[in-house]
Amino acid sequence: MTFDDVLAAFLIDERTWGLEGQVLSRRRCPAGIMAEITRAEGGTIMQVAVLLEPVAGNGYRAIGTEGLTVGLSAEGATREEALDQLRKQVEARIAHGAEIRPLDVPVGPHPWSRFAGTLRDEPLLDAWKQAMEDYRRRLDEDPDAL
Amino acid sequence: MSLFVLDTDILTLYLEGHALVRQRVDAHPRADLAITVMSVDEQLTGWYTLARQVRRPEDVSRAYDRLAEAVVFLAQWRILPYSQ
Repeated sequence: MTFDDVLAAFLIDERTWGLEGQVLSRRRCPAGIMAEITRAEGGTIMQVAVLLEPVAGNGYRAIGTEGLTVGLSAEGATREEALDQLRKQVEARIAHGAEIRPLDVPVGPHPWSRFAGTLRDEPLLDAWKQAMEDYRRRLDEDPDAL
Repeated sequence: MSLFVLDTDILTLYLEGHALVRQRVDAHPRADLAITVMSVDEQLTGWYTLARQVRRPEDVSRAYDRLAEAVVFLAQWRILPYSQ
């Protein structure tokens, strides 16, 4: 299925999208339709949370809150337009090589680190080691000993 | 991602506070480290056996305290099953 096929399918139901009488192009597609087209063309859609708020006076502002939208914001006369503008900014950012990568960061000591050294002065340490050694040897000599 | 599996001897050295072992273990992310259920078996059996061997009440108490601590310690790790 191509972009045109999907677009034709949506145009049949154009009243649903409030697009009656409009000539659609890829660049003018509202985000919802664009997502469907990208999906149909084998692309990947990722949903990200966006803060959408009314602007004093009129219109709306979409502010990126995560992932590739971080640091971006866009305004529009309608919610859809604001979201659409923000999406275009994300697309431009991706086109310029932006990507999301996992990063390992230290999150503090290992949960078991508080046990390190706890047996240093343990009076029963040698006896415990011997008990483990005896147990291991019994199993080695006769795996059915248990 | 590499998985580093600590055996019973290394685990014991860690509990004894061996500096190099601790340094090596702590240098790896938690997700890269694991122990086996055989080490769990050996360490718990060691304390369990000792608690029955020793005669002095303070040693019995100490062995049981260590057994309880070992349960908490071992539970912090990713434990590989016998079949792997």
